[in-house]
Amino acid sequence: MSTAAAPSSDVDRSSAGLGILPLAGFAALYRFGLRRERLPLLAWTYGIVASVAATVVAFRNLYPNPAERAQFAESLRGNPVFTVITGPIWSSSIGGLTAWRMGLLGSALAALAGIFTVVRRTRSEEESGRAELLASTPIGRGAALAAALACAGTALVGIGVLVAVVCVVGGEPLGGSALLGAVIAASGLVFAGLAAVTAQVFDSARSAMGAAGALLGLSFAIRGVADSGSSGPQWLRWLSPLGWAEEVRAFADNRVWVVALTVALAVALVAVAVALLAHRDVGLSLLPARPGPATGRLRSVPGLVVRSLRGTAIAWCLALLAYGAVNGAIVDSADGLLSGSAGMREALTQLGGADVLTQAVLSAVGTVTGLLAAIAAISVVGRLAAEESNGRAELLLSTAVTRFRLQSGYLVPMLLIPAAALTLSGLACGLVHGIRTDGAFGPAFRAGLQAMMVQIPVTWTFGALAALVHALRPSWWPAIWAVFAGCVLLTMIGPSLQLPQWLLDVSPLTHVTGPAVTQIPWTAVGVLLVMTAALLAVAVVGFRRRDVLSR
Amino acid sequence: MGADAELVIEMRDVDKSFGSVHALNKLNLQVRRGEVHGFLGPNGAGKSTAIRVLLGLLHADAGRSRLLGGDPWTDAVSLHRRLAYVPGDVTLWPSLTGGEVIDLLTSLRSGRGAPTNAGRRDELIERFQLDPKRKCRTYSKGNRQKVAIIAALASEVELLVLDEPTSGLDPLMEAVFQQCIRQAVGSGSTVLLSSHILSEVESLGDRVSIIAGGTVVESGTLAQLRHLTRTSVQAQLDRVPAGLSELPGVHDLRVEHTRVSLSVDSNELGKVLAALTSAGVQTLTSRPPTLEELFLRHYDQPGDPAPSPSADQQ
Ligand SMILES: Nc1ncnc2c1ncn2[C@@H]1O[C@H](COP(=O)(O)OP(=O)(O)OP(=O)(O)O)[C@@H](O)[C@H]1O
Ligand SMILES: [Mg+2]
Repeated sequence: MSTAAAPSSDVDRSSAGLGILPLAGFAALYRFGLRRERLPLLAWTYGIVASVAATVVAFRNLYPNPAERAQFAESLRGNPVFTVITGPIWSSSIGGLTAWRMGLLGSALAALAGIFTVVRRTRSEEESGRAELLASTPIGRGAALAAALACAGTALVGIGVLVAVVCVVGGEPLGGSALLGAVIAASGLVFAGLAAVTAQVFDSARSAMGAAGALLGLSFAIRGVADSGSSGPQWLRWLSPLGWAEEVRAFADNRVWVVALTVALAVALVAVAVALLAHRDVGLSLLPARPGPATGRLRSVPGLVVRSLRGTAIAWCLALLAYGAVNGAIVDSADGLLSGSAGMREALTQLGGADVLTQAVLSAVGTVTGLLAAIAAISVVGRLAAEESNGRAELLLSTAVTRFRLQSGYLVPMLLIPAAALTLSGLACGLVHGIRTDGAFGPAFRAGLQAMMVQIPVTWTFGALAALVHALRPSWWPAIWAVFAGCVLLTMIGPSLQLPQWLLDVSPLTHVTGPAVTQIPWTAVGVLLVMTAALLAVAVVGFRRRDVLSR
Repeated sequence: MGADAELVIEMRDVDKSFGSVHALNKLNLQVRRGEVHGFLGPNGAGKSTAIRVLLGLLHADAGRSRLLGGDPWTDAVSLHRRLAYVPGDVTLWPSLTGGEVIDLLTSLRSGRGAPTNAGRRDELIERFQLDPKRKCRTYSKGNRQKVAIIAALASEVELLVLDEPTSGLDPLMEAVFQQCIRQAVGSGSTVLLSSHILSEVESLGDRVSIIAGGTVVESGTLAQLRHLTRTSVQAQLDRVPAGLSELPGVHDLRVEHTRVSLSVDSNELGKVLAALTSAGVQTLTSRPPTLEELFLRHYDQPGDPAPSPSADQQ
């Protein structure tokens, strides 16, 4: 992309003023965008709608009468292991349980769909220079952003309508069904709007997606804290758009006004994006580039990789460190639950007392932290894939750099970053948990540390799988995210759908996720480490043998 | 043709397909030590693909390639210490400055973790008028291209592999580039120069290979290639000589009264001129073939190798 903005944009800026961007060419761009994104959008739609349908059917078959459902709901309400991940249960009707299972997850998936679609249609196009080609044709400055939002909006509204239809067909009341669909669509719209903003602020698609994705992760984590038990800080939910999605309480209180609030937030974010767009040049960001050194101290591939990954690495470490500390503060509140339910206290005392519950909570928050760290691992490999598809790998490999040196330059951080982030998260979690219970470095500290560190092999397995995809079939790269999402869904909703164990075992997450964090599942860890090593070995050989992609 | 040792690049019957696209089709290419070898051909002819095979970035499906006496695929790293590559479409690291990228690439090329010859680097930066302090994301296309060219020239290597290196350079910088290439050749480098700029190839190139549809259809010195073209001749004569159409190499003969117009294979021009002179020439115009005409003949029919003999095999 050239640094010079088209002269016409200057004219537009002064004549149109803030907020009013010409939209000429919108219809053509919108149709083009839908065509370019049709496969991913259909996949997101299918994934979300089919999961909702499967959930309705499963609850219908598993708990046909209300008494059973009420008992099931009661047993889960007090169990933060589930609520940290899936949110609170507002109603024990089949619809209510479906909303509990899929409301939050569906909203998070819709949010990802919104982020990917908007960034791919805006910043990715600018980065590749294709947008500049379009900007030189009679297309309004605001048309690309409007078309991107319209594409995402079309898909998200479609998803919402289909979710509602599926619930109604499943025999659920119309109001709750419509609201469940609406909340999933509205959450998607909020993050589509957020992505529209980050796409203006950052000048690379990767950073724009990363920033929006990080805020999504943060939203998920914040409401997880709120949902960690009945004594958890419930007000925290209001700080997270995903918390709002829970507060809609579909099939229970059916709070339409929370959906309206969510949509209003989406509109506000879009307005911010439009205002930002009106003030920047095509291809550039809001943050002006400053001059740097005339000579460089970068001498090697590892040096280059450290330079380009250090910001991301520090951000991941700090985020997981903070998240670990928060988790450490909430796990012991699970003890308070014991006073709530007499039946539960009895059951738990039989199982080993309050410790069991605390450990189960630790294991659950460990799983969530592990998922976030796995995203870090996969995206480090994604940087290698991007380095290749934008042509810079070709330049590096034309010098005396071996394929292995380039590849390992990214695979080592792929192993180190999640390991460091999870260790820090574990230290923070263990320390805070320990200080609140049995002293800084006692058994509580060890339990907190182990709960996080046991996830390290899981993140490595995902990272190694990503490396394998990159080495053997670079054009299939997006599939790694689908595989990851599939594994997350399997582990999170698979058990309550009573899927067969062999299917659950497909997901690496299943193996280290259990109620007991005091015992490290050495067999599972060993298997995952062997798998990681094997996948990496094949990836190294594969990358040495294949053609290097060029631009 | 000389001994194999003289050949810096040798490709024999190299095939490469991407799915159903046959990018290279029994490609033959020879580049001798110390020459600037122009590599021409229409868009999509396979120039960049051939270069990527030579750099060991692509694995050829069939055929034999030798580069600086080694195998481009298996010996890639040791060979890359001795060559420098400038891609046609340079992407750089947006957050690094031009100076940092130049030092990074030269360090990586030397393989010893040290950039080569700071004096030469600074001289090149000066000559190409590059501001090395600016971040790569703020460079224009031409400036990005300059960064890659400077990084390549600063390394002082045996072989320069240049894929449309000057696309985006202004005429002043183009002149500087040509000077630098001449200097590099003067100090013993060999250059493979893929280009669409005929004047650049004409002024730099010792020998030229023309590629169309994945095959080299013409290869030789510029003089040899000129011989493969026809000179057009128009003359006003006293009388029309007999047997003009029987002369070897004469084509498109048209006679109107005493006006004659014809085109003739360049190596047969002498005999035709003799015949015309003997018939009393009043006026004569003759136009030598331009390289353009030669190239356009091949560019017109991509994928259709011309049957004319390769100048190499003469
Ligand atoms: N990675 C690839 N996948 C599929 N086809 C490819 C790939 N790379 C090149 N091709 C095809 O191979 C043929 C030769 O391409 P190449 O880039 O070598 O042409 P070129 O001579 O360099 O053209 P130009 O002058 O436009 O740079 C083209 O038809 C191109 O579409
Ligand atoms: Mg090319």
